[in-house]
Amino acid sequence: MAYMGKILRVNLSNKSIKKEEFPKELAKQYLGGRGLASKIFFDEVDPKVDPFSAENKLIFATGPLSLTNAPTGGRYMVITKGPLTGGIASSNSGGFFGAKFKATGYDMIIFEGKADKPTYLFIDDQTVELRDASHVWGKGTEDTTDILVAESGHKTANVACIGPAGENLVMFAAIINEKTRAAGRTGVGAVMGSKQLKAVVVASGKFKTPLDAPEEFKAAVKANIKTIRENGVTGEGLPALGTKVLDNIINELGGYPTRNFQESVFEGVDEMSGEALVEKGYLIKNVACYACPIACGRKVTLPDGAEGEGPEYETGWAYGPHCGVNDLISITRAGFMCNNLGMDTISAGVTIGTAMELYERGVIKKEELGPGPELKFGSGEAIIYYTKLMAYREGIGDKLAMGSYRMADSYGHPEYSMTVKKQEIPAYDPRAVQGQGLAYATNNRGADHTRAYLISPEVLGIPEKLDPQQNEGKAKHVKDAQELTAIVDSAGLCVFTEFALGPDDYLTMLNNATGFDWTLEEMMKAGERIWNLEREFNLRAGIDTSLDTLPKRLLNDKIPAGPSAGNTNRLSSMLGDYYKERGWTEDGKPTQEKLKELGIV
Amino acid sequence: MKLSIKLFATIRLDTGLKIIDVNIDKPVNVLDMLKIVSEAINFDLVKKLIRNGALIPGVIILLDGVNVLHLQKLETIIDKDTTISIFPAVAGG
Ligand code: SF4
Repeated sequence: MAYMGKILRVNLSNKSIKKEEFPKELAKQYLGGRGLASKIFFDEVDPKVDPFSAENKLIFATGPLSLTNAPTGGRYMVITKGPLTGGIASSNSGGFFGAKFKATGYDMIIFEGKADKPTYLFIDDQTVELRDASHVWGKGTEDTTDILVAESGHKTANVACIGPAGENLVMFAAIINEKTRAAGRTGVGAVMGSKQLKAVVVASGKFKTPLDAPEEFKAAVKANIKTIRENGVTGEGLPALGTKVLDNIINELGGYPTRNFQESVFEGVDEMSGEALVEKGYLIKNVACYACPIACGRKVTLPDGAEGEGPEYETGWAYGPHCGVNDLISITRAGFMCNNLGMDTISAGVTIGTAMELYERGVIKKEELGPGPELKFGSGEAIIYYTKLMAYREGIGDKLAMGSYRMADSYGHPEYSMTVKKQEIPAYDPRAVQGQGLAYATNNRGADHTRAYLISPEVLGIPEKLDPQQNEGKAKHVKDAQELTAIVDSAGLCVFTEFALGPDDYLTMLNNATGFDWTLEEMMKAGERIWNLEREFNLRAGIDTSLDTLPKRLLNDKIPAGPSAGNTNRLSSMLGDYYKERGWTEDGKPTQEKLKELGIV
Repeated sequence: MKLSIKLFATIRLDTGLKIIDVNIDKPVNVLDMLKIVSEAINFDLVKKLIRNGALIPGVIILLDGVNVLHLQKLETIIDKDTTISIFPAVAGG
């Protein structure tokens, strides 16, 4: 129950399309979405594979709660070996595409091989076919979506596609659905580009998710929506200000990374904060993904009439303080561009900020910029100009397209790259929030905040307030958060529900939907299984445990000023505890007993 | 003593105020400070931030960058010039 019971296997090399039985027994172990697709990927793909080779696979997956009324039940995930980190990648997106895809009667699509020319996959509830995409190759995600929707004959068709960045193998290219929603991180869009797969078009679907106990499920959903509506974060803050409400919070705490993490307080925050977006009149309304009572999305119109969504907190920060820019119009425009070009805004903005530091230190020379503006911190002109160059790999854009680590390394200065496992660190300085630093360092997909959002307890006090400067006890919090988020992702829900809902709430919905009759312990065990499987894949891929670390700047250089002045991240005082909590070896490898206990080997 | 009170998120949007200065002549605790500021800005901060005698989960009050939850919460004494940042329970990223 809760699954459609079918998987599509599409081989782009020989153009075959097979419909396979859904592995129900495995779903009891790995739930669905990220978890189950990772298991299939683990079993089918050599961890040493080149991410851009035909042997790499790309899986679009939904969870058991996708296409249900469960709050935020519309997510889909893309699982592959990501080019940015070289590890297993799972990027998650909202909007409507995921639910619509599941309504065609499939839980997952596994793409294999490589097309010999630009191609897209068309699906409705009768047809699944590969079509020529030559006419949209080279186009942005907005035009691509409009053209393919028109071609589908269904005005309400949904499109997930790549833009020029994915085609040009920008290492952090995203997959964009409904023009504004991104499966953003780790370069899943570049893998799609390497396969010459431009888009997946879902024209229409008539199926509903079958539920094990529909009445009980409905009651659980109703109770959970009420909890979400009554919660200050999910019922008031996110709807009113979106994620950008965090700008001032993190800045006041002294953990708002500024000018490539050289400082942690941004003097220009009042000009570009979430409040400013409202006060300046750019925010038009909030928008919601499928079945979402939170509606954190922002519809924005700039003074020149340009329309789009965002910027989200992360986007606003990456192009804002990280690049020293307080010009909200340029920041917002850069975010719009990333959606249309198909790039992860965090990695794109952070990479430009890194290049700014390299330029100001004289490492990148003026001659390399060609006719472009100077790469100076604070330049709104530069963030726009180099975002475009990066997507098309023109001029110095070719280096920027490699991501901050590979770019800085190419100049002999990897120390200026603020990355973990070559993925750019998001908008919370781990010197100001210790547990978040541990979460970055141990994340299976490199630096990222969505796999264990320690900001919630360390800064917001949800579900309980932890001291952000304390190290003791953080290991257990990180482990628990990683496992619960693995469940939320795999279920097909949005992590923002975690502000209001607890493990029991998810358990009730999952049991009534799937009929698994899990105990809380069994559900959390599935989370642990997913985490360990991803870890094991990464180790086999060659991502060794010495990479569970943070950039030297964040370990050794004290925050120079502001409320968190004087702090570094004390990772070494947490990492050993974390490995112990996980039951791994002292140097961070899952033991054979652990892998056996979880049924991974 | 001069208290510089910075208001954020929906409180800023509802009151139209970013920052206000309040002078006090004797030490006050956080709860009393909220009452004084509420009167000064004509906006009931106590109602917005406190439920059943405690700060609503997610509310953030920082005294010079330090969360009062790591001090003595609503009883924390303010006895010197202080920058106070007040956020309702709203955040998420
Ligand atoms: S909370 Fe925001 S991102 Fe999550 S499902 Fe709702 S609208 Fe989408």
